[in-house]
Amino acid sequence: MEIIDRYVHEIGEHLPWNLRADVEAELRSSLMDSLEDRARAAGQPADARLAEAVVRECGTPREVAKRYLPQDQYLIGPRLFPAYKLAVKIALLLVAVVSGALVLAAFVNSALGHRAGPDWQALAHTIWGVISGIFINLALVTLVFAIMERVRARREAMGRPWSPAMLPPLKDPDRVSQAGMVIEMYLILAFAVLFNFYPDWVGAVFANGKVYFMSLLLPAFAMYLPLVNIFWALDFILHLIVVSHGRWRRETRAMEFALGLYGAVVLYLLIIGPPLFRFDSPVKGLLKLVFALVVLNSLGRLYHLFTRRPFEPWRVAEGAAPRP
Amino acid sequence: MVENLQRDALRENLGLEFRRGALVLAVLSHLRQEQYGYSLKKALAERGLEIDEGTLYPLLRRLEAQGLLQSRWSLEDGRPRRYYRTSTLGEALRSDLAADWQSLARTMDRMLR
Repeated sequence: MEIIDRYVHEIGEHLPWNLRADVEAELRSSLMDSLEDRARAAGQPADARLAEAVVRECGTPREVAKRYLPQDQYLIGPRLFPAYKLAVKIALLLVAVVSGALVLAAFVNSALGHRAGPDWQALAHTIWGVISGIFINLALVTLVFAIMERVRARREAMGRPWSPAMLPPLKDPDRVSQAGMVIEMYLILAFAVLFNFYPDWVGAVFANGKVYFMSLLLPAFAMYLPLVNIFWALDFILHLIVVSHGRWRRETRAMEFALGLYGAVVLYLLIIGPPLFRFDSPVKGLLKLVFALVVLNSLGRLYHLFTRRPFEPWRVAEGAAPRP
Repeated sequence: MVENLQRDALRENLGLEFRRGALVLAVLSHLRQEQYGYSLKKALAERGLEIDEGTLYPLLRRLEAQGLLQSRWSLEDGRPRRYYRTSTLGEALRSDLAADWQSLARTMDRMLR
């Protein structure tokens, strides 16, 4: 019966390939049984009108297919969705601020520098860059949250039985804000994409009454980019681990300290290296300040690593006495 | 008129929740004897539990994936049929769920008086 074949085929289109043949065969057989029974009971032939009635009672193909799939399949689930919305707003705000400055600078530059009038081509190029920047940023935020959703789902699947002793203290320096961590992960990805694929966007200068779009990064910086990329990759992975745990642990604090040392080394190499930036002196002066802060911060983390015992709820679950 | 429609819709939605739980127990009970999907549907309907193919078959697949049912294909009169039967685990769970159901029924009976 054609209507049943079409119905069953349409259900199959919404199913994973490994389920399709089996489900289609079973449903087709059952619907034909149902049709014949109905026709026999009604004393009429099994025609298209009766077949339509049988199929209508099953529900739409999409609804039926959905019932075959695991019930909770989300790219970004309901628990993370509020943080996702906030992250999207922050990302769009950042893009809006930077883009607004770029578009304004492009407009001013073209109005000041072009005798015949504003350089609409340059302006259009800048606006196009802004639009593609919006999509890239949205994609990065969505990617980070999709990864978080997978990590969270796996953590809950392996979750230990909960007990009130596992509740963290009210003032807990190791507690992490999921939204905060995700925003940091997004910023890491955003900077990595910017420095690796859009280095020309890293800098605009207003001088002699004109705005110049120029990369702050000189070609020599490319030699150091792999080291910086490694730092960002390790930082991203560390954030992912901390988010999967839900809090900082001694091991992750140790990793954070080690990463801080690595970051200090990379900064030191950038500082003592050849000219890497346009306006190299002021930029390197700033890097020296950052280097000092990173070293002080790492020393502080080392001190806490040895002096403070973090709250470890998973040890409570394993039977050890909780530490207040 | 609108209120009646709303009430019917609510009744349908909320009633679906407790029918779903009952359906699993009904399926596990009926499949202590091997049956194929359509024959199970008819058997349930005869006992007053109407269910359409679009709900029953995904449920059978899910119970099989959970290890509560076993299945096999059979070709009869040129038509492939998938026969299901409650597994050992399914039978153990069925008797637990039956006890839970009876306890719940007694509790609800007292509450609804």
